[in-house]
Amino acid sequence: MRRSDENRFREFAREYAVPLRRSAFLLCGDWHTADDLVQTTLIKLHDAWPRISRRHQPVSYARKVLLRCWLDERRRPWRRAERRDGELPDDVTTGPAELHDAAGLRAELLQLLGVLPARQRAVLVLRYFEALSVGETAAALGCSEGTVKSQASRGLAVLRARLESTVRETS
Amino acid sequence: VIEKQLEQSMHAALAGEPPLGFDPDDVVDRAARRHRQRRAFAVVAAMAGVVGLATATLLVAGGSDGAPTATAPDAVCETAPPGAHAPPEGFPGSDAIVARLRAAEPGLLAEHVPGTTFDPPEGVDMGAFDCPPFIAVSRYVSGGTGESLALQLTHRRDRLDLAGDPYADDLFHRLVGDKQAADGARIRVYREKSPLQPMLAVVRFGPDGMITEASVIAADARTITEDQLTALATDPELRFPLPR
Repeated sequence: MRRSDENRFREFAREYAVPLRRSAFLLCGDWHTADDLVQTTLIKLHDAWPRISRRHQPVSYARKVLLRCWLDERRRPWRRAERRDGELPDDVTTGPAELHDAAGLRAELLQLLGVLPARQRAVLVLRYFEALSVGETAAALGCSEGTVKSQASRGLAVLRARLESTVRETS
Repeated sequence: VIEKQLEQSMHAALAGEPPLGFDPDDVVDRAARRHRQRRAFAVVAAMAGVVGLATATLLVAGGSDGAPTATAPDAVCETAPPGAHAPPEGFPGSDAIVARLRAAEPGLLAEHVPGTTFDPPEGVDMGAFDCPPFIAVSRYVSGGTGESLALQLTHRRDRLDLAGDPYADDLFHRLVGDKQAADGARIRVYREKSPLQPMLAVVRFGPDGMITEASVIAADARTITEDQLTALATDPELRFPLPR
């Protein structure tokens, strides 16, 4: 890789490591795995950087690679064996009250997202956290816009039903 | 309403996030090291053909004076010492090998990839590294096709070393071909699993311990074919003798 490319990639990694990890966390639900996913993504991006930095939007490409890495990660036998029951692998248990609130909210959100199939979860993260358009989400996931719309609709319907059920139980 | 709720919940749930569990600069250094290592593997492989004649000569000369020609230990050393950003540069005799390869390379590329012109990258276009001994060559296809050719020649010390397969533990590549050559070598072909990065690699594992890798990464369409990469990876000129 040319030195100028290497420098640009370094700047990119510094700037986008945190935003990418946030998306990764919402996808996988675990900060440590999110760290791993972003590192894998950056290493994979490195080899393709001279090409993508000239011909693609690097962030879009990084997002695609991150998604692929997450899907690959989910396919690992030890991941498949894990229970997906909404139990949080790690969270904040001490600290200021607002952190407790965030932790509670995080637990609730991850529980909700955890019941969704991978593609629905990815669609919701891309659409409502990354604020991507339907077209951008379709491009990131390599599917049609129709699929994005239907997956988002189904995902939201599941979340809505879950929330209503929770409200009924607590009232 | 649920969309708005979800959006707000996602942002709020990230409050109090722990600090990054890694240093982005370290990851970039690691990626660069891995990249150089892989390129070096490919270069060594391609160079093995170029150096073949010289290697044979050296081996004969070494044998005739009773000097050991393959005294290297069986153990595989680290590719880079802890804290270093690259493997040690050069190995005994590497300057002469690089010079021979540099002279032979244009002819090799013209023979095996006819009609294509190549540009060297900025910086080091051909380098020798140690632990294990390897030589890397990197070339860009001229004309803006976005293709990048890498030749990497690695010496794994007198044994056919499938454990030294640079792609063996690489989750991103898929083995699409694996055959035994008449000379006892194994030829493996790898493709990138993801369509995001069209990549093709042909790796020859020689019975003498030479691993020759010829690979191409393309932007969109690849013009360099598997047959051409195979011709490069199996060219005896892209091999070199075990350094003493």
